[in-house]
Amino acid sequence: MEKSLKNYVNDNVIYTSQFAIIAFIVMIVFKIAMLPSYMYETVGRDSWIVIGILMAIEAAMFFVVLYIVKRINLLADNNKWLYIFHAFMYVYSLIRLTVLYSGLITYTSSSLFDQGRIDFIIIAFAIVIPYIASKGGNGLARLFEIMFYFLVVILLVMVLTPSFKGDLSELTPIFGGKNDKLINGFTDFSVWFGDYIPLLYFTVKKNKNKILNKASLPVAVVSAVIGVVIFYVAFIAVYGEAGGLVYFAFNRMSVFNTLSELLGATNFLSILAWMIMSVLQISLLFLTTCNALMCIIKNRIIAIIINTILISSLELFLIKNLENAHNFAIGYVKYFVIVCEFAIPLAMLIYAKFANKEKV
Amino acid sequence: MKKFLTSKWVLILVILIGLVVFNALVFNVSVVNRNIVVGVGLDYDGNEYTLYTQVVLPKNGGVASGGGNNYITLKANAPNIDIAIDKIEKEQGVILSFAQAAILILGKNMMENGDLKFIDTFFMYNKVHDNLLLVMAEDKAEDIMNASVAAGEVSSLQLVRQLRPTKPPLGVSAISMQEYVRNSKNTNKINYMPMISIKETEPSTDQAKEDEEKADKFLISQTAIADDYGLKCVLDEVMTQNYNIATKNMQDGVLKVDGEDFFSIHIIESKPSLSYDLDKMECEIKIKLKTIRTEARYDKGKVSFMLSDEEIKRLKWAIDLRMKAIFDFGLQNNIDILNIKDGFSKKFPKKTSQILAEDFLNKINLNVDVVITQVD
Repeated sequence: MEKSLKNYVNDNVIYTSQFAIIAFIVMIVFKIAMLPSYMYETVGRDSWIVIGILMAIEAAMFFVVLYIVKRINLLADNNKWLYIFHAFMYVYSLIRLTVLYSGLITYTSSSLFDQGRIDFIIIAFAIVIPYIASKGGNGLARLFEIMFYFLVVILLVMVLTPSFKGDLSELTPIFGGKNDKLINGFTDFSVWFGDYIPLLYFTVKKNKNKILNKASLPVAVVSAVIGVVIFYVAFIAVYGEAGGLVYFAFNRMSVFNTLSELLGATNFLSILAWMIMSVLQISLLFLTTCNALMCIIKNRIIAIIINTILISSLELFLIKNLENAHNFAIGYVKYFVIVCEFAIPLAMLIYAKFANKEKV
Repeated sequence: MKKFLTSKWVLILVILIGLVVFNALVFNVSVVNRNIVVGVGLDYDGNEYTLYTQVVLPKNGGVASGGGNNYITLKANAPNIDIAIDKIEKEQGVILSFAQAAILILGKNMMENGDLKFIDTFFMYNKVHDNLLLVMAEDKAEDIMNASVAAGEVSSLQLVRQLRPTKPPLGVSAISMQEYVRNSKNTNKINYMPMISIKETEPSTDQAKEDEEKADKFLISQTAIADDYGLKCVLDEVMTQNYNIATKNMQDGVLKVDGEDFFSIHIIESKPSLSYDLDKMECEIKIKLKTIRTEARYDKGKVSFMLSDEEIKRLKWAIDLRMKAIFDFGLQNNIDILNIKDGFSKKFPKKTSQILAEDFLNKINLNVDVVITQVD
């Protein structure tokens, strides 16, 4: 293993509170962008229940991952059986990165520019995101922590100044009538879930503050679950059966705000909030692909370069637009992603339990 | 030099240059080539659609320094909205920016015979915001766009000001594009929008303004009722009030209670809710009304704004009559004006076929329950 890599593998140690902040942001960001529309098209008015169940499962999985990463450092572990884990992590992260990155690119292109050229946006992100990822897990966690305080202020301002005409009767009848596609709501959108997986490459140490240590993750995940469910309820109440026509739900919903009524059509607070969150989320996924590849080829710089070229090329030549990304996500890859989302943490849980008995 | 080339400052410099260069290469339109649309109109002549866009022409100095703005209405005829927008942009050599558009005015013929799916085009165009207000012109949208309102003002923005008062009032049934599209996607729901008529104002009695031209003013007290197929009927001023009491949360307005010694009340808050009982074939409208008498009266030697017991009875009776009148008006025009079928089908999803039967509404008993809270 190269010398720099030896230092790097210990650069992924974060505090429990940072783990909680990452969990809070990654659980929210892509669930409130394109997913509400896709979910409504498939499940209809019951999508808020489906998302609630899926979010609850996701929240529980964060605790499983926390249990694992308190006990093992997967970057520093040289067990040869872990090559299988790294290979799965690489493919899994690459699939999710391809789909979600497309959302960020399209959002940037349509919200910041009139007709933003996707190729230039990809090139701009190809500098920013690998740079953030190159700073390692520790640096990324610090960035999450710094941005979190801005995000909380922005989100609070938006939540406390709502101004929309919702109709809660749009949520009824609950599970009424025949809904053949209800089950698809649980399986089709697996690419938008599993946000706990990238955190397997972190190692968590306790905060000095005991309250932070115990309460931060439960507060973060419960807030995220409640926040997302409330967002879906509001989304359905506002748009009803037109929900399937609304892309970038967070952007559209943020217009129903007293500040927006004063300042004009575009709510820059929402753009700012979502851009920060999504860049952080994409950087985390990018870091995961880099970590996985690095553990296989044993060279961090080459892993970052390969992934930068690969993901940029995929977006530029293969995915191209949001529709292709959506079709790709709900194709056969969704089954692979679902299996990974449960099999990987389960395998690592067993590994942590039996291979390493001592906490890190 | 070698030390500098290997430092982080090289990377930061490259990123800065990159960002500046990329920004220059991205397709951005100069303000000179951009027309900011504040209002949109749509007419239909039975053959083609006419799109009107009221755009801002900024003066030097802008509003902040007292410069004010000029406005111009651009129009194009086309078989659909996208082609019309393209035509205007090509003819003017500009990009139309709809982000600040505040109102969409539909001509009456457009509502009666045009394709209302075009409203979805605006809805799905992510540069148009969902708070865009929808109204129907009494005749043509063009008349509204070309109306000469108060000096220095443009018709579409004047209309928006009237439609968006600080509190939702009794007589105005304003609707945003979000609410309209939500209703239109539900086949059991009926849609509504204010109908705008124009009236010429009286000549000013102010001598200083004697030479000024006559101005137009907008009347917005009527409501157009529509479904997916187009305009169904128009509610007059009283029916509009009845409709708003039955369906909307309100925070303003004066309600007159008729009789030999009529009185009026100020609505501080009014909240309707509908409940449904399929076994009894009954729909109940419950209206929670927070109110105050507009004029003081003497009660036991004291000045009071409270309603007497007799007046409360008369107010309840008046609202009861108004609710039954709007329901009957819907029946006469063969429309479910209070969305009663939608309410029943949501509460009893397994009985949808019974609820959606044509004669279902005729069998429904309408009960009205008015709960009055007085503010002294």
